[in-house]
Amino acid sequence: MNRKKLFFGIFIAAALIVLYTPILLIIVFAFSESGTISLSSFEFGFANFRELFTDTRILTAIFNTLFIATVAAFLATVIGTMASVGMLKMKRRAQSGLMALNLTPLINATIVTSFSLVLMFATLGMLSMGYIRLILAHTLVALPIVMIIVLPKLRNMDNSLFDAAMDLGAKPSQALLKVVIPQLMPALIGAFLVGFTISVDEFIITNFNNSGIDTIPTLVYARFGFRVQGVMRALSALVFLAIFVALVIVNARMSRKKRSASAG
Amino acid sequence: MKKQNKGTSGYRHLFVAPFIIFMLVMVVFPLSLLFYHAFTYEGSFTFDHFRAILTDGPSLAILWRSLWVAVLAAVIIMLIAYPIAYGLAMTGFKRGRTILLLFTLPMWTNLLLRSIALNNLFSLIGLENGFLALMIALVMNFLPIMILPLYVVLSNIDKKYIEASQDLGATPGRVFTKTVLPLSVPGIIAGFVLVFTPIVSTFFLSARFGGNSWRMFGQLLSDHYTTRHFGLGSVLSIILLIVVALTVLVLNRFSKVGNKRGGLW
Repeated sequence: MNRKKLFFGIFIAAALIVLYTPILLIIVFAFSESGTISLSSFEFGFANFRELFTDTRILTAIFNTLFIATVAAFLATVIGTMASVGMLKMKRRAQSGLMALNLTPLINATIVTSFSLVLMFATLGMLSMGYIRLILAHTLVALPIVMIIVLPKLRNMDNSLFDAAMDLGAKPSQALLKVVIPQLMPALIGAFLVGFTISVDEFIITNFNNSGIDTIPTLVYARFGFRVQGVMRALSALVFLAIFVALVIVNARMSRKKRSASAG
Repeated sequence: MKKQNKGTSGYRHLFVAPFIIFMLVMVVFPLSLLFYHAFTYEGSFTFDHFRAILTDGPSLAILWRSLWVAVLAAVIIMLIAYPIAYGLAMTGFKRGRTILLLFTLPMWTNLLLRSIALNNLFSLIGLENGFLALMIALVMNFLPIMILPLYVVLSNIDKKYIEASQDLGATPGRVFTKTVLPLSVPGIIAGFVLVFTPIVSTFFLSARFGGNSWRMFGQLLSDHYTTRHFGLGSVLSIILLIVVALTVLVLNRFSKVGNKRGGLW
């Protein structure tokens, strides 16, 4: 039994090492001022980071990425939460129909979604609306996940509260804003953050529907082949570190919450 | 109880309206446009786009290649992911969930940045673009997605089944082939379907690691977008839609893993 555990332990460790090697490599070489990646030409320095923070195109791309992700995640959270509340009491058939609609963009090949969105924006004459196009597209990417996160939480919630608020004379919007939303807040924040992350990461749809607005992924794509990879390494290192730190914090908080919940 | 709620839940249904409008404009309408463009040329009905694709040798070669590359990559990923998921779920690792998280962490970082990292690694060890580089890139990129459903299924297998087959005298090998493996089939299929569609339609990874001789479906579609051949692009999209629909049918037929455990994500 112990030998079995050792075997799987080694296999898993090896897989993790292979998976993380490129990421560690890029973080290490972000601090090398030499253009090429090889151990013999490593020259320690911060030139890549200096270049990163003086490159206005990169800074604009970072702003665009964060701006689009914030608006899209917000829209997706609002639309998704409203839909979840509305769906909850529907007949099972209507619910599964709406859920199938919701899952379509998630299941569909991203490249097909991208292409069909291009056709749609062309038909509606919206090809030149840079930010609006990207915000709509990113909302579409984030929405299914928002619903997947919010709907189960809503199902587990005490449903009579909404009806109680209505019976006491609240308008549906009041019942939603004052009763349901406050209770749902943790799930909504979670949904917003996941939607935000997906939007920041989204490349294919952005690349197809991009009319002159750089996001970090499209900029990385545009510069992939160039020799200026030093700057991209610095950018990657920063993004990796930011995401790892964020995830570690989120996980530490979640496990602490879990522990205190199980203790109490 | 039901009757009492009827009046209020009527309003309540209205909350779905923004969602439905959004999805009609952003999903249903665009997908119907695909069919419109695939079957028309300058406004009149035609099969020409389909004929053009289905009689074009290079296009068909790319389509065929995308399918078998995706199947091969998915099988390799499965062969690597299964022992990992099995080890984490079945051999009593103390920090199984934390290690699982370590596998999924890279997934939260950008595909392109990870690709630059991989590209740098390849240039460090002197691996040229081509089939091998493409396979390694695909495997490393999609491995975490495969591990998740396998882990969920394996850790949900009732240990009593395993004990029972051990008590009945099965060797460890037979316990695995006759008990564990059959019970994990839903996870295998779910994992396969989850990685298959993205691999078939990949265009970034194949463009950056495959080189010119390993072009894949996604690149072909992307080319028709760049050259504004909307009809041809729509035909390719519909072919891909059919492939996706088939994989979903397979998933629904053989596995209920997606419905039972929403915790997959």
